[in-house]
Amino acid sequence: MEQANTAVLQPASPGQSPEHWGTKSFSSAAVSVLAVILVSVLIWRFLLKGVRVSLGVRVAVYLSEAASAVGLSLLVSYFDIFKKATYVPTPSYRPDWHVVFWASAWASLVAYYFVVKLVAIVTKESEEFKSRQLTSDLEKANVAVASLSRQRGLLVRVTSFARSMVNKKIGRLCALLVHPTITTSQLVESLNPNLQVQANMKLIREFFRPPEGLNVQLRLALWMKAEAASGLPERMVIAYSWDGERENCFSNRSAERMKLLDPLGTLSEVVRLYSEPAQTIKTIPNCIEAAQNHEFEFFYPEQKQKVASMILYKHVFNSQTQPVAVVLTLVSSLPNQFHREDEEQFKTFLDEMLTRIEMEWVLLQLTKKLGPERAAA
Amino acid sequence: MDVDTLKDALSDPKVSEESTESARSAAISARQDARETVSRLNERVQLEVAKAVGATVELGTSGATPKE
Repeated sequence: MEQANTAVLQPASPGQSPEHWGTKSFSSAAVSVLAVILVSVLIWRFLLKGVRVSLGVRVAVYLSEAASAVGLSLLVSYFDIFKKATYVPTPSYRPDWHVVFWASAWASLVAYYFVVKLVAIVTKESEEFKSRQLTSDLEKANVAVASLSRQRGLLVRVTSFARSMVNKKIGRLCALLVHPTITTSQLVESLNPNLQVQANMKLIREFFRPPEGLNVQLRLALWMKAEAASGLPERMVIAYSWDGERENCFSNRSAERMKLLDPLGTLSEVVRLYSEPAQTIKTIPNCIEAAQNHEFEFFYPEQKQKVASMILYKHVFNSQTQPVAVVLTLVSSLPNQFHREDEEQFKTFLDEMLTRIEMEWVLLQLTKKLGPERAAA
Repeated sequence: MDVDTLKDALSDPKVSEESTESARSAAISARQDARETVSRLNERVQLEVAKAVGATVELGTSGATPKE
């Protein structure tokens, strides 16, 4: 009896107990882990989709993560799975198949905890990443929408301005319709190309006019090549200028710089643009900044007060027969009044208005040819 | 094209005042017209957006997924 007791109480390490309880239970646990992981791999896509799409699945998975953690703790403490004495036969405790079963259950819970934790991390991280991506995309979309709205607003304004002068002309011509007969003079007076030419030119300035209340000087000028004269080099001169109140609003102090061929090089933007193809537009949003970057040159210091933002546009009248090239400039004393991103809309407007002026110009020449008949009428 | 004809027309003092007035009134009317048109277009866009958002919400609540 004494010998038997001595044999039982011999010290042994896990896995060396007479019936190999440690080996049995850990092997069983490993198989359970592998089984859970295998099942998870098989259902991984459905599991992720369920967590993303269904709130019920999401709550169940996240809740089971916490539940499995509690379950692990309970199992370990209740069945003494990791206690050395569980695997070493002692008089007070002898392990049996229950230990194998609960060790497998514990391992399954561990694997399950690992899987749901992974699901939670993957979904939350991917959602945060997606959220950042969506925020970035939204910002880009907002910028694009603002840009498109601005372009659309400008194009609507272009159409409205171009139409408004036609409406006035229609009004004048329709007034003639009430008369049973009209003379050529009456028709010419109603067409009034002189008025149309001036009004269309002034309307160009009105289009660009800054909002009321701002103390801004906005000057329009139409530049043409001067008539060739003996001894004088070819140069650009102002055919017409308008500041909203008066004509001839430019000082002409830069006349010397307007030579079309200058041995010292072309310094004037007007001269430079004259050599460009028709419909070329150039916007200088901030002349002071452009001068600092050596992209623009002031001809005299006081010019900085008057020339802060500019648009230059080259147009060719009657390009089909006898082309006459002009450069139209809009000069503002307000920096950044004109923006490069609006260039296409500005070009559309200027092209439209100068084409209308050309039509009135042709009409003007035609009415002059009516001379004798008009007098007779 | 006779350039002088254009220059004379541009500097014709007889129509100077009338052309200034004509351009100003045309600009006022054009600005008003443009404001109304933009406002109409904005309303239209908002309506389209509301329709699109409504369709998306319906799709989401029905559990259907858009075809790729």
